[in-house]
Amino acid sequence: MPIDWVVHANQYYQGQGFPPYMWSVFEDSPWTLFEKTLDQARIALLSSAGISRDDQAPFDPWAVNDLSFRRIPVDTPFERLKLHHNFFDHRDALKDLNCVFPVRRLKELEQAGFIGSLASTAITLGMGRMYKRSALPKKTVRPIMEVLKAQETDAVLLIAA
Amino acid sequence: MGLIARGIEESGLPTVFLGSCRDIMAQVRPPRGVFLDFPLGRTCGRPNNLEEQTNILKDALQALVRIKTPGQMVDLPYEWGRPFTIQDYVREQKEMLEEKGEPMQEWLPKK
Repeated sequence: MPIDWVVHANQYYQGQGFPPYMWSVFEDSPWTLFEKTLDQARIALLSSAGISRDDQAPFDPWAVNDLSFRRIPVDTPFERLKLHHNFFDHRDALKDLNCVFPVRRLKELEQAGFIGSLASTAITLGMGRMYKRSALPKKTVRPIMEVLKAQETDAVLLIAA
Repeated sequence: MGLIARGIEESGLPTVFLGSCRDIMAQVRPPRGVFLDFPLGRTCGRPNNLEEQTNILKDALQALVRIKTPGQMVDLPYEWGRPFTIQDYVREQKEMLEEKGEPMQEWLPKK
């Protein structure tokens, strides 16, 4: 049985005297047709595991309302990448960043012809505990879209950590 | 993160969302959801298990083609191999912080 995260988070946070988290609940979803085949498509990677490069500002591992993101060239050596995110057990990810930032596997899938290509810049976020969700479209989605469009992305793979 | 997927999709790019929080995914409804029932932090499989990671990623990418209904979620068949519960999550998070020498943060939002 999958873990009931909503139930747990509500109990945990309200147990600390905090009002209920207002979860985003939708009855339907937006839709854009995926018109290419995978082996023709350029796929961009987004990961919310709190990964940054050593010359970038690190994520706050306990972030609240962090709307920021980082651009990570997919050929960056893993030694140059840092992970700051305390809401999941990241010990396995530190052994192998592909657990949450699978650039090596995706590059192999490009070489194998399974996907057309992997977009050269991946996007990383921290996320979690978002109260200012109304700011997301302008502060986060719009600038991310600029990065994605600039590299002629056909589809986006989002990895939630 | 589901909101980011929705926002990108609304802006005109197709998305597929791979995650391990099934109940949250079911309510935020990313346009194409792929659920892997693994403990958090192993969204693409176990460390250094290249075959498993590759297969999970292939399955996730194929959902771009296979999912035809907005908001549909597919459940991947991979098994972690032993039970994991919310208590395990809490314990592992605590162990990790102790190993790093960091205290558990009291959860209070900043204004």
